[in-house]
Amino acid sequence: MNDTELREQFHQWAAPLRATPPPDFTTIRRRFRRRLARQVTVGSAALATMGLVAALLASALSGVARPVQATPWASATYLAPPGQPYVFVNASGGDPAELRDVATGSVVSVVRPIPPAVGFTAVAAVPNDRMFVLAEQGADGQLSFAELRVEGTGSGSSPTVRLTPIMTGAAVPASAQPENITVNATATRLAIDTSLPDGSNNLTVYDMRSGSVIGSWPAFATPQFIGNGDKLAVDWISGTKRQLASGHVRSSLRTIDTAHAFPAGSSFLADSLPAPGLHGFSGSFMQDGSVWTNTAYGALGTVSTNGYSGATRLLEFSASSGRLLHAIPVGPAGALQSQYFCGVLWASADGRDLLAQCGTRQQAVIDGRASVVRLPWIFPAQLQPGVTPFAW
Amino acid sequence: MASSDEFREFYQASYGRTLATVAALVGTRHDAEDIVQEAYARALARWTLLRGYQLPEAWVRKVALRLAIDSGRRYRRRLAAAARLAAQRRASSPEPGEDLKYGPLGTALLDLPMRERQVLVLHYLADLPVDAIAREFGLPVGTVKTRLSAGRRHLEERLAQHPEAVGQ
Repeated sequence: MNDTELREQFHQWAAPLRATPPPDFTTIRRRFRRRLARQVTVGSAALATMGLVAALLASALSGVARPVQATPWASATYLAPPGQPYVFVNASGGDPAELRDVATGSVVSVVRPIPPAVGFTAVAAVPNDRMFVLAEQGADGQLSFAELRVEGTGSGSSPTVRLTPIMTGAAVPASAQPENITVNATATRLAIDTSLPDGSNNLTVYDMRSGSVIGSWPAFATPQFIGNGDKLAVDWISGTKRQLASGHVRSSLRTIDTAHAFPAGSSFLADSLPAPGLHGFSGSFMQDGSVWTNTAYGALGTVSTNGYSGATRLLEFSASSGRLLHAIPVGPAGALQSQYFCGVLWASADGRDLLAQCGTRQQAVIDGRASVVRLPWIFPAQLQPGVTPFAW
Repeated sequence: MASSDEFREFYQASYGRTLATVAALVGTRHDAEDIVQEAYARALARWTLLRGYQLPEAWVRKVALRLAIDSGRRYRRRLAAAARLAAQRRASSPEPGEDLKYGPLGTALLDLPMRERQVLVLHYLADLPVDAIAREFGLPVGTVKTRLSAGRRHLEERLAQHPEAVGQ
């Protein structure tokens, strides 16, 4: 076979694909929008470790200085943060997923979805690091939920992992694709951001004990429970078609108190409150109420279309005043487009200690000071919209 | 012409070509669609810059190929679950290219190492000359020629085991 014949064969073989009309342009816009949301937030799944210490929450929100103390885990020879030894990794797209030991990188358990579910699509960690809440999907697209409990973690014993269905009676829209989920510290509230077949997004908060809906709003939002109560922080993004095309979107950080139920059809903007001093800004709340974000945009939290190639920095703002607390370089230029995760991997309850990764660079950040660490593996990026890659 | 209209026109004109190239690399249409759509979403994000390029399609193809090649098996495994869900939700009537990987040429291609497959696809399907492939991947021209030659030889060996592929 000569060159020309081989080329012809290739072209014949691929002709049906070349003739395929592209999917509607809104498909690309939706991906762009999700991508933008992911990039201006700090991996909400990683930040689902919230609300351990109420006193620290109160002190952080009131602006009281946090005590500086040695953090033994943050060294070049990395040790797992105290009390946080497990991470749920969903890198394969959900079947199977793995529970890993952070310090060693070893697989504690291979976790498979509960039939008829065929894949895990989102995961959130409860701050005690012994419970993870998983969103599963069946072959028909039906969404369901399960809890994964890690038991028998005392010294000398091997942990056992138990996966059980929860919220079996919860009303879940058919064919909803979960994008972000978060669970509160007491494991009584679950918030989930889903994309629907028509391209819109919906934020729903459930009572985990009964499966009933606390509130549901048509909103494109990255939810994050903060503190140890029912307060939900939301990175809310909206934009007109023109704004999206030019890369400019409206966004703000807002909070909703989910202790009580909201009537169906209520307004998201009316039900939520803006974070003080942070209007027009995107990021993610820490469990202490301060805000972390990663940005490649140069200006603080300002979104522009030509900033993706810039260096990546983590910025911490005070949620009470909007004041910039720290700006830490974490990634080289272009890291946000890497195949690896870029953002915060883990955060302590008071937000003072962080583990961050951007591309292949991993760092511990303590009170705004970064030092390089090396975890046993590199966390993958969320390349596939709708698949949350890990929860710690 | 408005920037968004320009991008839409570019997308509609080039999507099929990019999809074909990526599908030849990854072997399935569904995986390829996910990768290509992700590449176009990235292009949309930086269209202000790309619109000034002489060949923005080359940038999209490069991003798509990197997604397909660099992340390799892990990315495809991750896509598999989502693609399986999507496929099962889809209507039963086959779409063009649905069974791409099952054709003899597709099967033979997938048997080849990725480094050989990528130069074959870029040369014979995307019609890129050897020096352009070398520039695109930052490889010496000699390396590309070697891979192309080995890839051709291996491909012909595999196609010979499936003679019905010839003239397909």
